[in-house]
Amino acid sequence: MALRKATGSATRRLRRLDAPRDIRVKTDDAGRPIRVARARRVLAVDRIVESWRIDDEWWRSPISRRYFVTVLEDGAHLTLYRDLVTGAWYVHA
Amino acid sequence: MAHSRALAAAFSDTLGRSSSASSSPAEDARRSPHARSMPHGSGTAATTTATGVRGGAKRGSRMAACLWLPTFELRLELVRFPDLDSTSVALLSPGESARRTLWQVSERAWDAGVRPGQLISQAVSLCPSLTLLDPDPAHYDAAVEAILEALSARTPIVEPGVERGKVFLGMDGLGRLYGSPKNQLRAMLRTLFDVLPRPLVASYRVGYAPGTFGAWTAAARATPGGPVIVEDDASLARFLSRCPVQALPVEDEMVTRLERLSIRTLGDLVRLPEPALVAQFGQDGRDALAWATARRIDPVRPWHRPRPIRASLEFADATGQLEVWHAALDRLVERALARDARRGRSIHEMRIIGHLEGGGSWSVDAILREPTAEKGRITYLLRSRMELDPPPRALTGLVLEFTDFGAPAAQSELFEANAEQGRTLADGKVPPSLKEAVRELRLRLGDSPLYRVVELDPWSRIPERRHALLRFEV
Repeated sequence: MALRKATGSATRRLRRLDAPRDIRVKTDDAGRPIRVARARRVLAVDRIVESWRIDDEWWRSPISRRYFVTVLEDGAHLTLYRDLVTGAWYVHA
Repeated sequence: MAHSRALAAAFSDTLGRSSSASSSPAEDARRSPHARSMPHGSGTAATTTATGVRGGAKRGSRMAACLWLPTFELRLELVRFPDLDSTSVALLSPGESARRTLWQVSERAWDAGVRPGQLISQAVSLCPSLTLLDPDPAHYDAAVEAILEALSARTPIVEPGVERGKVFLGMDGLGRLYGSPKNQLRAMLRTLFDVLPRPLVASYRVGYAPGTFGAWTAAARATPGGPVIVEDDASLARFLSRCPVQALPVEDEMVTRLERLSIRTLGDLVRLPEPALVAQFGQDGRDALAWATARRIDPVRPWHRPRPIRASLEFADATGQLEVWHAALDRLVERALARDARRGRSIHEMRIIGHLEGGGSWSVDAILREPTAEKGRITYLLRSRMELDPPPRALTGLVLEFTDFGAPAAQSELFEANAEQGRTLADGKVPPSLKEAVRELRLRLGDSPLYRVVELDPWSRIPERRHALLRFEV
């Protein structure tokens, strides 16, 4: 179920959770993230825990993402994805 | 494996042979159970997507040493059972199946025609006096931990390979402490005397070179007691040019095709134009060229592993009943979750280790897609893993280890039933204290900033569609 843009009073009470946000990412030759810019700091990706791809809704507005669950050098876990349609990187807060 | 061929060619005096043979640093990264990322800071220009991030110092150590002990597990068994040293011995592959194969074989068994990967029946028909050993992963892992711990006292950067017998060491800056590269390597090996028997340490092959690929290749060309040292990039390129293409951490298929084209050494490979390699092999071709020309130097990266949380339980009598194992697992999960060290952390990776009746051990790893501290989810996963890959024999004891952790446990735990009187929201009743808080906030701020999480499409593959925040109103 897709969240529609909030218009009425009822939907104004509803907010997205886990909405993706833009993030700056540097990748290696294979397209895997190696550094991310977060909170005005550039942090190295210590390791990639998991990676998977999502392809969905090709019949209307295609969704194609490559996800990476990463652990940063400061120990934080970050779920990043690259939008394979636009090439942009996002993070799930 | 490409490397099994490389090893066969490179090491004629190896004590035993292994079906999984060895893996390169890059392969280590790909095959790691913890899904390690590729080493950072490669020598080739990294592509920047979206908006590039500039700066950032390279992490890890550029100069690397690789300590490698082939057939590590079999050698440990021979240390444990010295009487077997003069016999034909083979270690069975881990896991339980009707058609078990050999994993590692001793030199004597090799001479009798026994090979890793053979079925037990084939091996016994070739060598009737063959002694078969069940693997004891808990024993091997304990030895690896001791080795890593000991080496950490000598260099701050220690990175284990996927293969238990292989370890990479960061050597940057150690010259001031230990002198020449040869002395540095000696110092590292001396450290191993504290945790391993002398003959085992003497069997280590040691390589020293820029980057993990260089160090591994050097170790693969080294002999016990005769380290191979490559001190700079120019020497590395010359050294690599003499190495066979099997040394490359690429798919077997690519190596086979290269050999069919009479490209046998990395020196032959670097004479090919990059576009031709990329056209034939894609990214693997580009990577292979970068490694072969020593343009790509992967530093040794510090290994971070949180101290595991362990809980163990001994059975009064060895038991092979699944129900008993499950009940034991439940207790172990409870105990491990209750540990102080676990508080504020969720569990991401776990391992169950079972001590087998009659010696040996069995273990399985489990990774939770989403870290959690919920007992139900953890035990469900562990039980499923145990049913999929059960211990081969009755168990005398079980150990549960939480080996990797995630962010603090989900906030839903704050509303655990009976955690605090009146905090339960599951039945729709709003506690009076919360109502009062909402009223006060509304008076002060004009609006309540409190929300509750509601499920929209909890099984959606798109994370932002699973849940939403709904304004909390009373």
